[in-house]
Parts: sequence; structure tokens; C-alpha cells
Amino acid sequence: MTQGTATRLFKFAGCVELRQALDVHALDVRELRQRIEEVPAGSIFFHTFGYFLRHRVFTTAYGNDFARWAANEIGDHALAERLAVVDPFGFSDLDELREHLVTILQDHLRGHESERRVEFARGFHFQQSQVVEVPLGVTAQTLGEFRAGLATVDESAIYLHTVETRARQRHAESFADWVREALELPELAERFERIDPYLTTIERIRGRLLGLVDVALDEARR
Amino acid sequence: MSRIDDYRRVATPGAVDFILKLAEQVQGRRFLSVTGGRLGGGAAEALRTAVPILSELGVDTRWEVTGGDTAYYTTARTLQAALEGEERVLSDEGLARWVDMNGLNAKKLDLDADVTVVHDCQPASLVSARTGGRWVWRCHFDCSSAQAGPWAFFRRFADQYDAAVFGLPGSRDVSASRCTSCRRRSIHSPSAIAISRRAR
Repeated sequence: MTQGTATRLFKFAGCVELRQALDVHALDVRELRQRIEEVPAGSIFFHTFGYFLRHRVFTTAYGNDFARWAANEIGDHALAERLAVVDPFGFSDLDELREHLVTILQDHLRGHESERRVEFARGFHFQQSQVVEVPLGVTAQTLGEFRAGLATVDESAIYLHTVETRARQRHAESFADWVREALELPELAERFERIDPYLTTIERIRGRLLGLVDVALDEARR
Repeated sequence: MSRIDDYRRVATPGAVDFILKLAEQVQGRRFLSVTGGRLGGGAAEALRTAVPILSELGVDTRWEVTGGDTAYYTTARTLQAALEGEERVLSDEGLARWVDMNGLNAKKLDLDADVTVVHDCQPASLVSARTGGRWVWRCHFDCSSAQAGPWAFFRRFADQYDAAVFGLPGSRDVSASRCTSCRRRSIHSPSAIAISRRAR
């Protein structure tokens, strides 16, 4: 692995999330299943992948809003656990993820005739969001410059260049793509892609990325 | 060292620089907030902190306050209480007075801005006097159990906004809201409330 100059600049960008309420609600698990089938794909994204952006500071026991609602509002910890182990990064697209969630809920409903129903205020209220990219003015053309940027940019940039770019088409480039294509470091890119963002925090992802870059820089110096 | 730089000591890496970049994005836009008073909690409390910081960031921000006679304040308070779900009696005369006084406020205040954010109930009918820019209603209170009659009255004003912004309960980030009146966009910010189907 050598350290060279990239064929194109990496441009760090942060992001802000503007949430939008949908007029779609579920007051029990049966309704949750129905609504998950109906809502726009952006809402599935919001309640699964988007969870990482909204829970930056500490790791929670749930990896998505559906699991959290099942535990906290419905009080069904078995269902919460089944939903919590759904890793959104394991699906090729949002419809596949949606289908998997529906299957879990269908299976669960078969064994549960009497469903707990909650009042409106405690219902599951579907949302979606617009993620607005904000160029940070920080660029990199070498791995060293990339490390410097990675260490100092806002954590929303880590989310954007890892989670968002992996799951949705974005203007911003993923860290792994740039390292592979512009720096021509496919092994490092592969290591980046092996970092599992599921059930961790953005700061921990930053830490792991920095660790991998440091190893690559050390190797390049030898 | 400016005040925004003070936050570098406690903010996560890059957070302050990110805010500076966000401020750059809105350079040249004029923002206006309108509330029913400069003192007290809720919107006024938030703006007392936010307006100086936004100004320091170079964002063109102003803050106007509506005023009126005793009947105006009484009706505005009663209307908000009814929208929060309390059983209150609102007279047609009182409501007409509230609308008229806000009409006068619209003539007195400088409402020329690219984005006008009107907070809560008291100044809400100012939107009828809008001449340009985007208008946003920022609801800081919980109107999930609004009384039907007062909501039907209030809705004629809420419908005139381009967007409405509601808070979310801090403990339950999934729960919340709909912009019942505004069939337009409702955006959440992480603070306080829920709008319910009852308030339709």
C-alpha cells in the first residue's frame, strides 16, 4: 500500500436533516404492519438508517424506531428484539428491507390474537426527512489530508459519507469509493466497507476509520 | 474570542465550523421572528439566545413583538388555552378584536423579510397581511387536544402559512405530529409537542 496523490479531490460535506410528519399513524402492531407496507420508501429510510443520525451520542438497545416503539410503547420486548436485530445495511434496497419488516410483524401477529392498542399520543407516527448536504470547504488530495479532515469535520459528515452514501444516491462521495478510485487503495476501501455502522455511534465509526487510515499511513512510511 | 467560539470547548469536533458553514449558506437572506412578547418562557426565551448568536454568525435576523389592548391579550391567551385543550369561551367580538389588533400590528411592524417565523398564537393572524417571502408558523405548545370550535377558527390563519414547525417530545423521538391545518409541510424540531387528529 503506498501513499500517493488522488486523481480527484475529496470534498467533505456535512448534512442537516429536515423532518416532515406524514399523516400516517399506527396504534397497534397490526396497523404498524399495514402502514409499513404503504408509506413512501423515504419513511422506511428515516425510521431505520436515519436512526443513526438521530442517536449520535450513545448506542441504544434498538437499531431502528420500530423496535424502540415496540419496546417502549407496546411493551412487547420479544417483538422489539426481533425488530432490533434487523440490520438495514444487509438489504440491497429499501423495498427489500420493508418486506423483511412486514414479514417479521406478520409472523409475530400470527401468535398474538389480542393486540395491545395505545392512545394516539403514544402511537407510531411516520415521518420522512430531507437530508440537505452542506459543503464544509474541507478537501483532501492525499491520505494524510484525508486523515486531517476526517478527524476534525462535524459528525454529520461521517454519517453522510458512510451511511447515506451507502444507502441512497447522494451528491457526496463515500469515503470508500474515493479511497478505492481516486487514491487507488482498494484494500483500505474494503476495510472501510467492513465497518458495520449497525448498533454503534458515529463517533465510534470515526474512530475506526481513523485507526484504519493510521495503519495505512504507517504501512506507506515503511 | 467571539461567543460562538466559546462553544468549541464543549462541542463535538467540527460542530462549530459546521454551524459557520450553515450560516454562510443563508447569507443575504433576511429572517424575521414575531412573538407575542419579549419576556417569559417558550419562544421568547429561545429567541433571547438565538437572535444574538445568529447575528454574530452574520445572519440577518430581526425580532418583532405584537401588542394591543387588554381585550387583545385576553383573547389571545384564551384562544391559546382552547387550542391547548382547555374548555374556554371565546366571543365573536373578542376574536374580531384580536384579528383587528393584529391588522394594526401588521401596519406598525416591519414585516419585510425573506423568511418570517411567527411563534405561537398571539401574532398568528399577522399572516393575513403577508406581502412576500415565506411564512412559517412555529407552534411551541401542545395542541393535540385542541377544542374543535377554536381550532376551526384558527385554521383559517394556519392555512395561509407555507409551513408549520412543531416540536417532538424529547423522550419519544418517534411520536408526534401532523400539521393538521396546514396541509402543506410540517417539520419537526426536537422540543415539545404533538398535534392530534382531534385537532383537525
